[in-house]
Amino acid sequence: MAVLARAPAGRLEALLDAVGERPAYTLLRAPESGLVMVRGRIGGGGAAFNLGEMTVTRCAVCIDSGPIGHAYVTGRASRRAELAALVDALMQDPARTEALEARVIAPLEQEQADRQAQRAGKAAATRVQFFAMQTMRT
Amino acid sequence: MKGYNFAYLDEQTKRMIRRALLKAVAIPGHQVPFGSREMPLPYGWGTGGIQVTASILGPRDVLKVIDQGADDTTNAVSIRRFFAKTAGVRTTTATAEATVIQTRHRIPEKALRDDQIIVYQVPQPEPLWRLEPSRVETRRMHGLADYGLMHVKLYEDIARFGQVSISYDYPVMVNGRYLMSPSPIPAFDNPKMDMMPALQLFGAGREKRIYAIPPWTRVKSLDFDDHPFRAINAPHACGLCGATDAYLDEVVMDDHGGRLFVCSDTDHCAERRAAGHPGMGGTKEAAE
Amino acid sequence: MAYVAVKGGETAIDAAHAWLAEERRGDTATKPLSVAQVQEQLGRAVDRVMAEGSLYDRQLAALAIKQAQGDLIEAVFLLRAYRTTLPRFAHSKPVETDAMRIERRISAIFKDLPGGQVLGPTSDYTHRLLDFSLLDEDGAVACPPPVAGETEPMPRVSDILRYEGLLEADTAGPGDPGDLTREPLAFPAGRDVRLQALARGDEGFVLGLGYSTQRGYGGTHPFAGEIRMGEVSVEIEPAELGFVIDIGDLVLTECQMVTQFKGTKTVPPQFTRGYGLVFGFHERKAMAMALVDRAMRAAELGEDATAPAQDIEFVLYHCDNIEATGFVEHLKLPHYVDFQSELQNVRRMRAAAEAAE
Repeated sequence: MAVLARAPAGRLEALLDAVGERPAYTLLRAPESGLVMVRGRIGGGGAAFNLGEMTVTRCAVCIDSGPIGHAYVTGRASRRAELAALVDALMQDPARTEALEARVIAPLEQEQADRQAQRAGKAAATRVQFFAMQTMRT
Repeated sequence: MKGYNFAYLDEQTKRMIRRALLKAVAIPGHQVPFGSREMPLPYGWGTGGIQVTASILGPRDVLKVIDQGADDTTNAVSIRRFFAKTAGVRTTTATAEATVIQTRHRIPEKALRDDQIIVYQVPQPEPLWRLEPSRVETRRMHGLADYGLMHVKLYEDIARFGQVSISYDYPVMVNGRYLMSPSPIPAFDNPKMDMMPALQLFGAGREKRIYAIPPWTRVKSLDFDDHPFRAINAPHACGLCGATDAYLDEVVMDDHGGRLFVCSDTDHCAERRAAGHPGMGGTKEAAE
Repeated sequence: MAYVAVKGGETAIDAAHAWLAEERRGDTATKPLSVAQVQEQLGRAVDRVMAEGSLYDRQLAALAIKQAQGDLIEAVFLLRAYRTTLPRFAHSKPVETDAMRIERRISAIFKDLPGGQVLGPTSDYTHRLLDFSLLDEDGAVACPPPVAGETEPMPRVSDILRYEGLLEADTAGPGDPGDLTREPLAFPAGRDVRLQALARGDEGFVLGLGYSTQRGYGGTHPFAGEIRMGEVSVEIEPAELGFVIDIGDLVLTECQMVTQFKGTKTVPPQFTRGYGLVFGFHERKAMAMALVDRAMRAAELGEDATAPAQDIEFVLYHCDNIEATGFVEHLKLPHYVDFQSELQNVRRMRAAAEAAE
C-alpha cells in the first residue's frame, strides 16, 4: 500500500492497462478528501504532539469476485485514490497477485527508489568534505 | 451551496457548539470554552457570532444581521450574504420578522420576543481583561466571584470624574453571580438585557468562549447605591424620524460644526418614517 | 436640506470585489501566473503558508498564494478557512525524524559527526547580490551530478550526546496530545500544545521572541545542536483496516537547540533542549521555535520566568497570525456606536468640569 500511495495516477493507469487488468468494480466508498492530523514527537523522540494537518483522499472499491480494496493517499487526489484502491483489491485475488506484483508494484517501487536515490545523491554532493574545503581556500 | 454543509460548519462541529451553548445557558454569564473553528471571515469580524448562528440556524429561520444597529453596513451585508449563500435561509431587515438576529455593538430598539434569539458578536469576552490580562487569573476571580478589582475601578472613576467613565461594554452582573461583558454595546442598551424575553447568546471566536443569558434573567449593570447606573444618550431627536428615545449616530455634515443625528437602528428609523414621523434634519449647534 | 437614508453597502461591496479581482490579475498584457509555477518556483512561500496554515498541501497553498496576490498571511487565512470544511479521518503515528530521508543536516556543535554535515539546497553561503540574469531567465539550470553510493545512517545529534548522559532524555507522555484546533487553550498549557501553537505560529512573531532570548530577555545560551530537513513517511491506522498503513511523505524541518542548564539539588548540571519542527523547508522558523520552546520551559526547569518569551500565556495567546491580523484589522470595521457613546461621555465630563470651575 505504501508503494501504491505514492504512485502518480498516470503511471497506475498505464501499468494497469499494460497488464490488461481493468475489471468492473463498484465504489464502496467514493473518493473522499479529508484530513489527517500529523503528529511529531516532543524533542524528536518523546511524547506525541499535534504538528498540523495534511490533506488525504480515501477510497474503497469492490471487484465482482469479492475482495475489497482500500486506499489512503496524500493530497486531494480522487483518481489516484480510486486506482490505488482498485489495485489493492486486485492484489487480493490469488490468481492476479503475482502478475500485479511483478508488473505494477515492482516497477513503481523501482521508480520510487530511483527518485529517492537521486535526491540522496544530490544531498551527498553537498556533504562537507573538510579536505576539499582546504583546497578551496588556497 | 454546493460542496458545503448547511450553514458551512459540519454537523459534528455544530453539535460541539450546541453542547457549549447548553452549558452556557445552564450557567448564565459564565464563559464556556469551546473548540472555535477557523471561519472564512477574519477574527474580529464576528467569527464567534457566526459559529453560534450557524449552529442554531434551521432551514425555516429568518435571519437579520446588524452591525452598529444597521442592516446596511458592509460587515452586516457580508455576514447576511454568507448565511444566505451557505444556508439558503430567508433574511430580513425587519426586527419583528426575524427569528435569529446576529448583532455587533447594538440591541435593536424594538423589544424582542420570547420566540426570538439574539446572537452577539463578542471581541473580548473577559470583562476583567483591562484590569488583569492573565486569563488564568481572571478565571480564578470568576470562580471565587472575586470582583473587587472592578468595583475599585468604578469607585476610582467616580472619585476622579464624578461618574463611571465606561460608556460602552459596560460590565453587568448576570443572575447575581457572574460578571459579564455585554459586548461593546453602548451602555444605553444595557437595560434592554435585563429580563429580556428572548434568549441571548454570545460568541467570541478568537478567544474561543461562548456565554449566554437565558430568557427572563436578571442582568444588572454594575453600580453603587449612591451612584446608580444611568444610561446616557445624546440630547437630540433623530433628524430623519424624530425619535427621542433611540440611540443616535452622529453624522458629520460639514467642516463647520454641522451635524445630523440619526437612529443607529436603521430598521427602527425606517419603520417610524413609514408611519409618518418626520425628522427635523441636521443641526448646527449640536456639536457645541 | 433634507437627508434620506439609503442602503449604500451592497453595491459598494460588489464594486470593491470586482476591482480587487482585476487588481489581482494585474495587467492582462502579462501572462497569468499558474498555480504550478507558484508551487514549483515559490517553494519557500508555499512552505510558510502550509506551516502557518497548519495544512500540508502544496497545491492548495500555492493556489492560496496566487489568490491572495502573494499576501502570505491572507494565504494562510484562506488555507485555514478551507481546512475547517474538511472532515478529519485520522491522526498519524508520530513521524520518526530519525528515519528522515535527509536532504540537509547540519550541526553547529560538532565539526563532523556520523553521517556528516550535509548542506542541502541552502542559501546560507550565497552572497546576497541581486541576480540580474533572472530578469530574463532561460530554461536550464545546471546542478552538479549526484554522488552515488550508500547513504550513511544519520543518528540525531541528540542521540549522540545522550550516550554521555550530558543531555536530558526525551520523555514519553500520556496518550493523546492536546489539540488546540479542537479544544481551546487552557492553562497550564502542556509542552505538546505549546509546540503545536509554535508550529503554526507566525514566523515573524516567533522569530522576534526567539531573538529576544538571545539579547538577554530569558537567555538560555543556545547552540544549534542539529538542523535536519527531508522527507518522512506518514503512517495512519484507519479504523476499518485495523493495521498501520503508510500513506505518503511530507517534508519537515527539525531543529534541536541545545541549551545550558545549571542543575538543581536533584538534577546534575546538563544540557537541556528546545525543539522545533515545522512543515516544509523552513529553517528560520524551526530554529526560532526551538528557542521559544526552551524559553517557555523556564518554570518547569526552576528558572526565573520574567521575559516575554518565557511567559507561556503571553506567547500562546499572541503567536497566531490569523487571530492577530483579524483583531488588529477589525479596528477598521465601523465602531461609530461606541465612539458616539465616548463622544457624549467626554462632552458630559467636560461640561461637568467647566461647571465646577
